[in-house]
Amino acid sequence: MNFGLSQDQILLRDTIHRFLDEQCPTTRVRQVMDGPSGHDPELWSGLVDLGVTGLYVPAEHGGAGLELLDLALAAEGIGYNATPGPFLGNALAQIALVEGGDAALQAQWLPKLTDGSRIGTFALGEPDGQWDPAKITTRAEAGKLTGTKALVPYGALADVLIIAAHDHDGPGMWLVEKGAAGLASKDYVGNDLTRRLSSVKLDETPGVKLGGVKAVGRVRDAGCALTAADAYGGCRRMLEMAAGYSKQREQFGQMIGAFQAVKHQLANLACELEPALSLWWYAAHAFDRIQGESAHRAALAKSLLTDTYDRFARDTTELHGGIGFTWEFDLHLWFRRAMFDRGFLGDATDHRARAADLAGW
Amino acid sequence: MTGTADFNEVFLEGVRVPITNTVGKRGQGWQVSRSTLKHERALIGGASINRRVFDGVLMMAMSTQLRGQTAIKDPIIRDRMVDLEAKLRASEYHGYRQLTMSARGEEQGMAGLVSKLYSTQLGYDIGMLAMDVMGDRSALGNGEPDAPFAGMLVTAYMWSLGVLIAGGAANIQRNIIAERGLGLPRDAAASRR
Repeated sequence: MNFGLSQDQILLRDTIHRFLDEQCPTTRVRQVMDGPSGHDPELWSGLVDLGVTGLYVPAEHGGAGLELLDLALAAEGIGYNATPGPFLGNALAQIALVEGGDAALQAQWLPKLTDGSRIGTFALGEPDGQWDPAKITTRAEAGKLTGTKALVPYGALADVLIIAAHDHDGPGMWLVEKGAAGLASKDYVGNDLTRRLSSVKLDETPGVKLGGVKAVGRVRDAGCALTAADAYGGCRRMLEMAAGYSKQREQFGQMIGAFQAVKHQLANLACELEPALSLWWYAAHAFDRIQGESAHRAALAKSLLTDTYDRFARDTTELHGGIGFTWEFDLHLWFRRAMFDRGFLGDATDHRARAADLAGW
Repeated sequence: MTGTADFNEVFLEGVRVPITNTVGKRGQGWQVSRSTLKHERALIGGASINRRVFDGVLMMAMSTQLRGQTAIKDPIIRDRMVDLEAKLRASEYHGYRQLTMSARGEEQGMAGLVSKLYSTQLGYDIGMLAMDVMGDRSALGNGEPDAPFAGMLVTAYMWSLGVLIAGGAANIQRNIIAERGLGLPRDAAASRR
């Protein structure tokens, strides 16, 4: 039995945390979110230098050649710091290339998505709320794609878009470059101010195929595990903020953290969060090493952690009282990130329905 | 209240006990009791009993008719079943994590403090789901042949309240998590003593 992080993983996690604590305070997060693109090239290049953008990329393409669990530890840190930028979409584009791309395509794109010279994203969902690769309606014919993709992370910023679509062989993924004919991306009015979501329209847009139904499913599973890790990081931050505030704020002659109602509400949150950590660890590990369990555990982790994030958003805002509902106080950065995590890749109800099917219930 | 005597009171009146039967040293009774309690909580905080009951509820849900179809096909039952499966898996993997921490000689901290509360709340939720799978027949008791699984899981539902209390009730666990885990102040009444 060895269900814990290795020394290297602990070092990795702590290094990323330290970097983001220093380089990504909420003052900077707010500057980036107020900017036109929601992207901070300087912060991004810091993450590139730290190796965060190449964790899952094989060494021959300039990455660290690590596993999804390592990448998920980065996602946890990103979530904890409400880090703005295209981390998630870029990582999923890389995973799509690793899972489905041939050697030439990998050699062409992976180094660029690692060294920060290009940014990638992954487009699966569609405007009717469909995230099931078997049911999406975007079509590919003779290497040309037509359809609309929804909730694409930084779809307007990305240089390289991995588009899930169907051809005569069933579901697959196609790589589309920015500026391709018939491609039109537009940022939504999103709830999460730290991460942009876009709609992406394709009209006879040329793309290169990279992998079929199995690869699409793998990317989705990875996305679920990463989103769960992000949610966990956010929950942890919200709990720290609420517990910290309850030790400062005085009311009726004592710190509010001395009231049992407050203590118990905080204790309930801590109790919910602690075991959930092990669920996304396991989901990421299953993706890496126990592939038969991967889809099911990813669905469980995504649904449980994003539900937990909603609950944390609610309770920690309440615990802060009035200040928790203000623009100036930072808590809403995470409140809003929870709304990204719940919707992206399909919501908790979707994933529970899928997990039930996968379990053969 | 389940009809079986799992808890009891012990009355002692002038019982003589040889000094060699003292557990631990004189004056250290509280430490000894706390250590026993810790193990009791760890046992209750494990996932294995919940897994057994959950698997029973699942079997029942796959073989019981509810609102005109097999219970597991009912969207609400199905959704809750997966939600609890996720929590149960979390609880199981949490146990693996705790075991690994022990093996590495690491302090468990919050990981150790929450498992009893998590597990017993989950046990209640699983018990309640069993009741909802039975639907109206949850009014029938253990041993009634007309109830799904002869009402066997009604006992699990009732018993879930027993373990919520045994080994330090849920609200005591919340105090411990808040005070030792989150560093919040001790209750005013307790700290005056």
